[in-house]
Amino acid sequence: MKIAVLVKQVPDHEALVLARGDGTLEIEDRWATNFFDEIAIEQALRLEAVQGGEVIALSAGAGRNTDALRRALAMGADGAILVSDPALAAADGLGTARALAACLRELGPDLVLCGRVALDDEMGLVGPAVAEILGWPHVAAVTALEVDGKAFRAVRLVEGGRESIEGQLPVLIAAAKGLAEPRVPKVMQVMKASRAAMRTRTLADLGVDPGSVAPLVRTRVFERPPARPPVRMMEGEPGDRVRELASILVSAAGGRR
Amino acid sequence: MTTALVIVERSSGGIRRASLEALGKARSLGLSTVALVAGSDPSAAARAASAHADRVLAAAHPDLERYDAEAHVALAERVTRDVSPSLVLGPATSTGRDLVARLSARLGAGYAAEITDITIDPDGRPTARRAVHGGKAVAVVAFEGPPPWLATVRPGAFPTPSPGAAGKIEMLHPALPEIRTRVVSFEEAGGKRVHVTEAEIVISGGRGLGDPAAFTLIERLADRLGAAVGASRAVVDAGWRDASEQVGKSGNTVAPRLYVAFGVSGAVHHVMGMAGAGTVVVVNRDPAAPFFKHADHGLVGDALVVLPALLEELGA
Repeated sequence: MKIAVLVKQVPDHEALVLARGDGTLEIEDRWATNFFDEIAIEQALRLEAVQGGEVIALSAGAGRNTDALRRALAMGADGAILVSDPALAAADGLGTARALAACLRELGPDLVLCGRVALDDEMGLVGPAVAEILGWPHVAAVTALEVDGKAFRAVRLVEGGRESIEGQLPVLIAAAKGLAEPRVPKVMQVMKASRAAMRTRTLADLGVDPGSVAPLVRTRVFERPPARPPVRMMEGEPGDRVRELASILVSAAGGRR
Repeated sequence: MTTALVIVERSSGGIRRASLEALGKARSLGLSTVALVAGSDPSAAARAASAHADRVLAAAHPDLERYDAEAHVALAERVTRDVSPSLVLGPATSTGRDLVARLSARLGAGYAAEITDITIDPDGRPTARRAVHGGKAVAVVAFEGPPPWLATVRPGAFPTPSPGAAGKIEMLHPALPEIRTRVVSFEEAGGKRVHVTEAEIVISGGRGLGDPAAFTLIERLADRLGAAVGASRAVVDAGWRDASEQVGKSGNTVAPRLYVAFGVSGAVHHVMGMAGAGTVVVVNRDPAAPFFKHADHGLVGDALVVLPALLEELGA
């Protein structure tokens, strides 16, 4: 079975991110492979261990995304492809999905895994959009996955519960927390991955018109989130504090927004 | 801009909060509002939506009873082409986000996920605001392409509208593509309590509760206040609580009117999931707990002492 995994490098969740006065974003130089993408990589490797085949990591864009591909290689992926093109620098999720889908058509996987959302732009668009462009079904926010031959069974987290979903490959699965606990690669594997060859495909290689990845949405400026006023601490005897807490809760719970 | 199409999500006995808020927002923008509801028998949801829309399209089909991306996208695509809305809004629930993302690719239309604000520019184009980087910044998003412009709205970001004159309900019996991913079972989590993303009040517990049994105190308080129960990553990872209750980066993003946390330290990944909450109240025995920096009201105390006293005070 050939499994493709879509990956992205994002700021570490503890990195300082600050909107500057000019509307640009200052991001501390601490990066990590997207939390949910690592889960997707792990799930792909586990399926490969049982079913055989190969795991290929894909990323679109430039620069830091090669680090996400190297993370996938260090974890055990068999190959990595970077779709790299100047036109992708300004692309939105839909443009990125078009580039990735073209690369996936060339690759011909049976299964595509990705994270349910990237924790930088928090759009959650690329997975469903790739499936749509490929004409494949997809299941998002998956917490369990079994593949048996061409059949799959996935568990999806929805409001108020879990759905079990069945279907046939090919399918795109977007990983949520709980699907698999990502392994931490050993130093030797990280070093080996840092030297590994990586295939690069341009939009021209893939027959994608650069105009088709032009963004339809654009962030005009970044703003700071509304600041919360300083905390008011409840003081006094324990009994007084509890009475104050009760009164805060009742008053905040009582009024309609 | 003239017409908004709002994709409405059913809940048991009505429609989900975020859908209602999306309908209210569309109307407050002065748009003629068309609600789309779907299900094997969507009549109850259609009636609930009709008080908040000028027109309700109620699509009935057995394959629309459970969420399947392709069936729902096929319906939404057809209706979007018929209605020609300038704006398509959906709820930023797990299914709403899934549907509108795929619809955006189907239509080749620009999409902004989980918006918290939307205004119409003088040129008639919308500008939306949405939290990025776990709420550390807000992106002001412009739509570049032609309409329709697509967005999902964060639950709790817009007020619940008051009912207005009932819009006309029209039944649809759409032809749908063959379902390729079939829901074979549904397992309910959390019982009768409302889900964290839907709730106006969330009572969360963390490691500071000391042991899973102490969550009964959280549940009693939640039931007293009509709230949902939330959980920190630590207690979900420890197996104390179900993952469906987790608030934070790797769990649910919530924006309730009132968020109360007992024994949750307030790690970055937790705060990322509730930065949009209204009033935040934090109880923690550690005066240096980072969560106090993100709270409106703080109480330094042991949750296991405070909770029983609080329940008694509230007569619960």
